[in-house]
Amino acid sequence: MILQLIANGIITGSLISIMAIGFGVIYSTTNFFHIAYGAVYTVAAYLLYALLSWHLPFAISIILAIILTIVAGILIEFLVYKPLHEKRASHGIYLISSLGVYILIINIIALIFGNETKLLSYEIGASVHLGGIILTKIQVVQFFTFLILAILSLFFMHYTRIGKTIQAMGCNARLLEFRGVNLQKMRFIVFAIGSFFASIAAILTGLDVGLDPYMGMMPLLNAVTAVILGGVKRIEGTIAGAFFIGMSQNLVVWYFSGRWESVVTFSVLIVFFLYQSGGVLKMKKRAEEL
Amino acid sequence: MNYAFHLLIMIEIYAILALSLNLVVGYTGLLSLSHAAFYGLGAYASALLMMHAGLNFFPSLAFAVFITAIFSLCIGYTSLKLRGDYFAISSFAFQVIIFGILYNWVGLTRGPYGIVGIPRPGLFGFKVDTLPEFFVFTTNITVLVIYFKYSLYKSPFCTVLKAIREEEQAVVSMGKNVVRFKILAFVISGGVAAIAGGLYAVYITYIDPTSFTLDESIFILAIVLIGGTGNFKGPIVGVLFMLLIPEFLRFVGLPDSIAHNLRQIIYALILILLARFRPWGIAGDKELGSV
Repeated sequence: MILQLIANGIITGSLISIMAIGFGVIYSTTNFFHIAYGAVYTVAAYLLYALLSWHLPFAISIILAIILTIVAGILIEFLVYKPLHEKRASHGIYLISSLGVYILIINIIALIFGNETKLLSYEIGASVHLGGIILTKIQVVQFFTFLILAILSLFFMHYTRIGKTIQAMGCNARLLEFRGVNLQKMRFIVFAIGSFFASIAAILTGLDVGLDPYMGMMPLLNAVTAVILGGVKRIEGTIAGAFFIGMSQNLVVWYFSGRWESVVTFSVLIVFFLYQSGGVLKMKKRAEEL
Repeated sequence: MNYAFHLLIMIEIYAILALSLNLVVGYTGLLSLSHAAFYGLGAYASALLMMHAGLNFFPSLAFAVFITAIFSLCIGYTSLKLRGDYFAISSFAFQVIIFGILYNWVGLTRGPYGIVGIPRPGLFGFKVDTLPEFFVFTTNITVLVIYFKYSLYKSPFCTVLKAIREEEQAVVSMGKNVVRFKILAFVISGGVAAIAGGLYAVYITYIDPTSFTLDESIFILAIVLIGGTGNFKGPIVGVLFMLLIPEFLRFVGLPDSIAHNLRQIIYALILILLARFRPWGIAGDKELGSV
């Protein structure tokens, strides 16, 4: 039983990680909470639903959904955040606009597709038995997708030019500007990467449990918590934070019931705020100073 | 006519909520997303005290305010040490936690079934029962709260809060304990929200957790932001604006199934446009989020 719990925790942690890496890339470079990220996630799932219902082949639908989600993410940056950035607006203004965009997109989706839960027309397939642990096929896919993406993003951040520039943007964006880096272009790239991760997480979740217009909020909150727990600027930390949340959620579901899940996630965050703010893997700066 | 009374009572309840939230959002410049939680705590505490401890409306309301103030003291103590964005996230977290408790602690709150049959308030043997009577009743309480808020906004206490909003370092250098001022503002704000909660509970006579969700918090925050922060008239303008829009939509004759979503879309668009072109709201005097 305990093995099954750990396995479930790992699967949950993988999904939260994918979402959190994307959110972390955006948050660490732009320094504001991109709440509309939760809406980008929902958009990806519904795009896949719409494309599949037009009888497009499965693989093409997924690729198209990912591309269109990335376009949506870049559009949000272009239409909403860029003007604020040019006005040098304060963090509060970003937060409010982002909240507005979130509410707007969610309700447009609800108007078009309705408020009820939809299932993606995809057969879950046989379950996989692994020495006492039972997983569904899609859960195995979720885990391996996470593994590939985590390795790729670690490599990307540490060994490519763009990755290093993104890291530098988190430290001192103005200095980069002096070096002739086009910051606006970099911001578009960052939003594209973030939205890519959101689309992957949304598609993997949607195939598993279906979709409704409000599906984006919990993954967003989990991702925010994971990023803060992990100390904001390191993917390793974010992944550690995500797995910590995944494990604790599953343990609580086992001991109490599934409805306490969100209470637990946020209690973890609050306790963390109370005692220390340096992240699971310690950074030199405290989180609220970044 | 009854409908007009209902609308007026709701406007009064929301006016209390918006004015109390303005103390935090407008005067200390912090985005609080947990106001519906205090509203809900007030509603639940006063309803449960009236039904199980057999108290009258006013003593149970006083206890409810006290309980909510203690909660907001704990929350304020935890969150107000944090920088702007992190405060917002932390209050967000508390909102979700308190909603989770209201929803899941079935033994006390009856969870999703809600509390039914909350008695109407009595006053010196006179029972406030019909709508016009209730309207007079809430108006009296609202006027008292507005008077309290008005004198508070003019008091030296709020002058210090304004100073913190404008230039926190300067206030620190004058030897004021900034965090203590912020916590006090937060506690007062939570306590006053509980009054609105108590009124709501005895007015509707039925409460369940879905009235006190994160969406409700966002709605109250939107009232303050759209009306304008940091002065007295802003939140009032916001309440009138936000509560009368649905009525106009009703006249246009939209089907009920899409009215809710359409309303949300309108609120969202207003928020986005205001943030971009008029960050101080319709009638406010201070741009938000300067912390």
